[in-house]
Amino acid sequence: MGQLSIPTEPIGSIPRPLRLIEEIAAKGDASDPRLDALYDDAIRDTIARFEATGSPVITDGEQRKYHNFWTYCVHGLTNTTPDGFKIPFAAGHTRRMPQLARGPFRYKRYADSFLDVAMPYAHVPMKQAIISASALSLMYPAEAIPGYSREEFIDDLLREHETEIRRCLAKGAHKVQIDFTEGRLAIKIDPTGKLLNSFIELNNLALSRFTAEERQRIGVHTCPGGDRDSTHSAEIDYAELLPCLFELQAGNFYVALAGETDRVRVQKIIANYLKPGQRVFVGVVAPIDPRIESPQEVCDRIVDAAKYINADQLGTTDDCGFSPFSDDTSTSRDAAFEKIRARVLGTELAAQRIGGTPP
Amino acid sequence: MNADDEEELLRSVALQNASAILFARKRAEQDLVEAKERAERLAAELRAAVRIAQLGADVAKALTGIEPMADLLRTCVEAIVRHVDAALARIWTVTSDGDVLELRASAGLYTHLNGPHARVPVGAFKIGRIAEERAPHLTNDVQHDPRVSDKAWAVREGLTGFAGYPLLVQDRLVGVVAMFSRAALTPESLDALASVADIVALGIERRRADALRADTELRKSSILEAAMDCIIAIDSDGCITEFNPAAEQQLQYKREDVLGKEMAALIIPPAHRERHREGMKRYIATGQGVVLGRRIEISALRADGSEFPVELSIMPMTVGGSLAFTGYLRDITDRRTAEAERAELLAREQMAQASLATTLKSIGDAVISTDQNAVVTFMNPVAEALTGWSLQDALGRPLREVFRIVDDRTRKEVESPADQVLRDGAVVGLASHTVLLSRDGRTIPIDDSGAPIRDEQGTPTGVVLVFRDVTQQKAAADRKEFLTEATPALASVLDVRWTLSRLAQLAVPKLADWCAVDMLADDGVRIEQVAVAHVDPTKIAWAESVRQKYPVAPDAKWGTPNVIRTGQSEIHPDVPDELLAASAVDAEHLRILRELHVSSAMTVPLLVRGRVLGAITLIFTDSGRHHTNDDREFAEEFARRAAIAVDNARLYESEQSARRNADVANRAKDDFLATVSHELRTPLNAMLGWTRMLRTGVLAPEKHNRALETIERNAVTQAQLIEDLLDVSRIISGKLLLDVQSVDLARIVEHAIDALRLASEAKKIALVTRVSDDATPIMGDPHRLQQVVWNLLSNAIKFTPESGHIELTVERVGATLKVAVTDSGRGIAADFLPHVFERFRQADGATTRSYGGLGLGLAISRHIVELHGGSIAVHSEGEGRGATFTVLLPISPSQRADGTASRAMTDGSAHLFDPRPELQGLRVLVVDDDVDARELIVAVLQRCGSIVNSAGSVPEALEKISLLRPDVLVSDIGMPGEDGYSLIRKVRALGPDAASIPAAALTAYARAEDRRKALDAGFMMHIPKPVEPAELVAVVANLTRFAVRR
Repeated sequence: MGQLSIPTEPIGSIPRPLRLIEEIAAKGDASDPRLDALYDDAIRDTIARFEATGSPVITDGEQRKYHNFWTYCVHGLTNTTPDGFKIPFAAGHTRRMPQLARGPFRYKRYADSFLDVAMPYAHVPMKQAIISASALSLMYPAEAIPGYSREEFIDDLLREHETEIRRCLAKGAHKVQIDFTEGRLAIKIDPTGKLLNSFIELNNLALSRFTAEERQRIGVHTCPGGDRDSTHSAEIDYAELLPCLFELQAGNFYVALAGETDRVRVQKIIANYLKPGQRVFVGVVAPIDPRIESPQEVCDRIVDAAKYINADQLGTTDDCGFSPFSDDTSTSRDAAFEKIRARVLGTELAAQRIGGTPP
Repeated sequence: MNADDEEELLRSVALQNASAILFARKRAEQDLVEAKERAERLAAELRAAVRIAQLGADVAKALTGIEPMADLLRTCVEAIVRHVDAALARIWTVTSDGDVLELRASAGLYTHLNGPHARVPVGAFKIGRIAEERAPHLTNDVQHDPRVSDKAWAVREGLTGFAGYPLLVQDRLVGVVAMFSRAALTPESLDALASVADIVALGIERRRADALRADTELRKSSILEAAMDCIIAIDSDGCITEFNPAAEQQLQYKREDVLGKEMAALIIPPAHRERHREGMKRYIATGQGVVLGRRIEISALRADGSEFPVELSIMPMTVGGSLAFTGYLRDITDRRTAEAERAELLAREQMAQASLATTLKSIGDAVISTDQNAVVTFMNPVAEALTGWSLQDALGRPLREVFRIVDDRTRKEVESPADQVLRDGAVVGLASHTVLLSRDGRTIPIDDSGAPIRDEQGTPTGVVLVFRDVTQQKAAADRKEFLTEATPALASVLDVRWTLSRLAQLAVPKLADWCAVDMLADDGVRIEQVAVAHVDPTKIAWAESVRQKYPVAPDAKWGTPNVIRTGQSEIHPDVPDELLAASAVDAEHLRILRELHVSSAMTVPLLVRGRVLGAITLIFTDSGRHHTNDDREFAEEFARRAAIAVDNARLYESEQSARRNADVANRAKDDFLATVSHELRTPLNAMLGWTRMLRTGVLAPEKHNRALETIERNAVTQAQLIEDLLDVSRIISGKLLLDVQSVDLARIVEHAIDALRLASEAKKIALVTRVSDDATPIMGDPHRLQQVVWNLLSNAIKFTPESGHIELTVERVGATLKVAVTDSGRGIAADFLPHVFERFRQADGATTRSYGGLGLGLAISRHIVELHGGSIAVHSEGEGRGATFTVLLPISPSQRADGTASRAMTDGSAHLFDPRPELQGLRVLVVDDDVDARELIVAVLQRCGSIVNSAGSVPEALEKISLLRPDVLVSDIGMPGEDGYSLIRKVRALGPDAASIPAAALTAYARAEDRRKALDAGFMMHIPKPVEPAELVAVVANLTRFAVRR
C-alpha cells in the first residue's frame, strides 16, 4: 500500500488475548516474570496484525499497559493507596484511581519501556500513548500531605511527565500522544470551566518545555472515555471542550468524532478553533460501536469532515482505544483490527477523492 | 460517599491544584524570560561567529571554483561586505612587474573599477604603502588616521574602521585587500579578514598560474594544427580565439574571418543558439555546466548555411587568468548515415523478429528453439503449456531437461531430437510411441518435427522443434487400431478359454499393465478367474497365489463381484491408500496390495445379449498411468466385443458338444446295429446249418440229437434277443406296460437263481443269496421284475471269471426293498460308469468283445425299475475290482401272487443242403470262437471231403497254421482277445507260404464297411453270417483258385 496522503493513526489499545487476561488474573501480579512470554506473544501478534491492516502508524496495542491507560505509570507505587477517585461510566460501572499517600511523587515506569519491547517487532513507525499530567494531578488528595506540598507535587509531576515524553521521543516514537480524556469529564464535574482551564494550564506548562519541532511530534487525545462499550462524558457538549482543547500547545489533536450524534456541528467547531500548525485527527471508527464500519462509510465521513476542516490539517484516527482498560473484553481483537482496516482503507479512498498533504 | 460527594471532592482537589499550577506557571514564565535573555546574548555571539565563518567559507568556496579572476575577486569583496559589515571592500592585484596595484574588485559603497584608485603605484596612498610595507594597517579611527587622504569623505560616509592587508604568497606580493566599516572592527573581524587575505592571495596566485599554463599549452600544441577534428577556442564572451585548419575545412570559414567573432552566431544553428548562450552564462555564473566535459551530438552550421551533425565536447580552461573554452567538433555525417542504416536494419530485424515471435506465439503448435548446444533459447506459450516450463525458467537450460520424451511402451527416454538434428543436420520427426513428460508429471503423446536453424552461411546454429499434443488423435487412433486388431483376433478363435486368454493378452499393455478376466460360473454364483496377463509375466503366478490366499468375496460391494452383479463399470482413476486399506482383509493383505503399486484400476462387464458373462479388470501399476472416462468407454466397447466373441465361442462349443454327443449316439447306434446283426446271425447260423444238415440226411444219426439241441438252444437265445429288442422298442414308444400285482421278490430271486444256477456252476462261481426276513412283498410286475433280477444276475455270471463269487441280497431299507447283486468280476471303468444304463452302450463295443448280447439288458432293467417307482445304481471300484448293482423298489402294502413268464421259442424253416465232394482233400482251417458255428462249418466242409481243422482263438489258429499248413483259412472276425483282422494280418506276416493262404472271413459283421475292412485286412472273401452250407462250400471252393500249389 502506498503512503497515504491523509495521515491516519491509531489511538493505542487493542484488546488483550483472553489467555493473557486470564493468566494475569491467575498470577495476581501483572509484572510476574512468568507472564513475559505471554506478553511477548501478545505484542508480536498485535504488531503483526496491526501491520496487516495496512496502518502506516501502529502501536503495541498497550498489551503491557497495566492496569489501564491512566494508572499504568503509578501502578504498584508503595506511596499510594487504592482509594482514589472513582470515574463513573454511563454503563454504571466505575474505575477507581490510586491516591498519593506521601511524597515524593515518582513514576513507577515510563511508557518508553513499552517501546523497548515492541519496536524490534515493528516494520512501520510506532506511536506511544501516555497519560496526561492533568489526569495524574488528581492523585494528590484533598487534604495536603504533610511535608509534601501540592506545589512540590505539581513540580514533580511536570518533571516526570516531561521525562516520559522525552524518553519516548528519544526512543524514536513517531508520535507521543497524551491521553486527555479527562477534559470532557472536567466540564461534567465542574461546569464553570475552571477545572478544565486548570487542566489546560497544567498540560501547557508541560508542553511549553518542548520546542516547536518536538511539539509537532506530540499530540493530545480527547474522547468521552471508553470502557466496556460505555463512556464517562459523552453527554458533554464538545462546544465546551474544543475551544479550550486547541489552546494546548501540541501539534496534533486526536478527537473522537465517529461516535458523536451531530458530527457536522463538531466539525464546524473544530474548523473554527483549530490553529495554523495544528492537525486534527478525527475519529472515523467508533470502538464502542460493535458494528464494523465499511471503508466506504469511513471515506464518506472523511469527505464530509473535509468540507469543514482544511484537508491540509486533517487526519484520521479511531475514536478511542479499543480496550483502554486491560480487562475489557467487550470488543474482540478481530473486530478491532477490522475496524482499523476499515479506517485505513477508508482514509485511502478519501485521499483519492479529496487529496491532502503527505503525513 | 455518594457520586455527588465524590465529584465535589474531585472538583475541590482539582481547583486546589489549580493554584499550585498557577504558581508553577509563573515560575516557568520567569524562567522563560531569563532564558530568553541568555539566549539572545548567545545568539548575537553566535551570529557574529557564524558570519565570520561564513565569510571564510564563501571565499574558500569561490577560490575552489573556476570562475575568472575578476569574478573570484568580486565574490570575495562582496562576502567581506556581507559578513563583516564592511561599508566598502576592495582588492587590487599587483602587475607582473610588481610596480602597480590594479583595482580588480570593489563592493559596498562603490563597485566601479576605474577612477583614481584603479591603478595605485606601490608605495602610494595607504594602499600602496601596505603593499610596499607588506604589513597590514588597522584602525578604528579612520576620520583621524594620517594615512587617510580624504577625511571629509570618511566623515561624510560615517566611516570608523579600516583594515588593509597585503596579499602575500610566501612573501611574494600579489595584491592588497582593504575595507572600511561604519562600526568599530572587532578583533574577531580582523582575524577573519586576515585569514581571508591569505586565502585570496593563494587564489590569485593559482589563477594566474592556471592561465599561464593553459595559454601556453593551447598555443604550443601541435595537435591543434594536425588535428582531424575541429578545435575552436572561445573566451568567456563566447568569441572565437582559435580556429584550427580542420575547422576551416569542415566549417568552410577562414580562420582570420572568424577570430573575435561570436562562435554561436557562426556555427551553432539558430534553434540551439540561445540555449548555448544561456548555458555559457549559467556556467560563468554558477560553475555548473550541463555539457562541459561530455560528448554531445548536435548540429553545426557551415559557412554556406548547411547543417551537419557533429560530436562536440567542450572543456573549460583559464587563459591568462580569464575563463575560456575549447570546443572539439567532429563531423559525424558518415557515422550518422551508417548508424541510420544500421538502425533501419535493426528495426527491420526487430520487426521481423517481433513478427516471428508474434507468429510463433499465435500458432497452435508448440515451438522450442535451441542454440547449437541444444540449450533452450525460445519457447512459445503452447510449448510452455505442454512442457510445463515457463519461458523464463526454461531459457538457458538443456533441451533434454525441458523437452523430455520417452517411449510410450518402454517408458525409457529417447534421444533428444535436437541431438539428432545437430548430429545429422537434417530434419527429423519423432518416432511413433513418443510421449512428452511435462514438468508437472503429465504424459502427453506428441507429434513433432525438428529442423536445424542455419545462419546465412548454412552453418547450423541451433534447432527448432515444432510439436503438438496428439493425445486425442493418438488415443482415438490407438483405440481404433486396437479394436481393429483385437476384434478379428478374438473372433478368430472359438475356444472359450483361449478366447479369454487372448482377451487378457490383448489388453496388456495397451489398456493396462495387468489384466484379469473373471467369469461367472455355471451355477451363477461363483466367480472364476479364467485369464490373467501382466506386463511382467513373472508376476502372474504370484498374483494367482495372492488371489488364492485372498479370494474375492462374491458379495463384495466393489470390484469384479459388483460389476458382474450390476453390469455397471467401476473406475478408480486414482487408488488412494484409503481404498487399499478398505479392500484389505488384514495387514498382510494390505502390505501386498501396497506392493502392487496400483495407480489406477477399472473393471468393465462382459455383457452380451443382456447377460453379464463376467468382467475384465484393468489395472495400471508401475507405468503410473491413470484411467480416464474415455478409457472406460473404450474398455466397455472392447469388453462388449470380447463378450460377443466369448458368447460365440461358447455357442460353438455347445454346438460342438451336441455334435459330439450326436456322433457318439450315432456310433453307439451303429455299433448296436452291428451287434444286433451279429447276435442275431450267430445263433441263426447254427440253427440253419444244423437244420439243413438234418434235412439233407447227411448227418449221422448219432449226431441228430446234438443238432436238435443246438438248434433249440440258439433259437431260445435268439428269441431272448428279439424280446429285448421289442422291449426297447416298447420303452422308446412308451408302450412298455406293467402287469402290477403283489410280488414276493424273494421268490423271484429264487427263480432267477434256479434258472442260472447251472451257468454259475459251470464257471465254478460261488453264488451266495441272502434274503432278509423283512423283505416284504411289493407291488409290481413279477415278470418284469424277474427280468431285472435275471439280467443283473446273468450279467454278474457273465462278467465274473471262473471261481469268482456273486452275492445277491434282498433287504428292507426304510420304505424300500433293496436288491443288490455284487460280483467279483471285471468291474467297470470309471469313465463308463455314467453310461452303464444307456441304451446301445457297452463298455466293450469293439469286435473283440468277449461277451455276447446286445447290451440292452441294463437299459431295460433301469426302465422297468423306474416304472416301478424305484431306482437302480451301480458302483464299482474300477476295472478288475467287481461291481455292485443295487435296485431300490418302493414297498407296497398289497400283495399278489407272482408268476414266471416263459420265454417264447421261435421256430424257423431250414434250407436244403446238398453237399458235393468237390473239396475233396482240401485242408481247411476253420477259426471261430463260437463252438456251434465252428462245428457247423467243420461238419459242412467235412461233408464235402475237406480235411477240416478248427481253432477257437487266434493263437490257436496261428499255431495250427504253422503245423498244418492248410490250403484254405475260414475265420470268424469277432472273437475274444484277438479278432479275425488280427489273425489275417499275422498270417500274412508269417512268410511267403502262409502269406498266400486263401482266406475267407465268415462273420456276422455283415455291413459293407465290414466287408471292406475284412478285405483290407487281408481276407480274400467276406461271407456274412448266416451262410448257407452250399454257399460256404462254393466260397471255399473259389478260394482254392488262389491257393499256391505246393
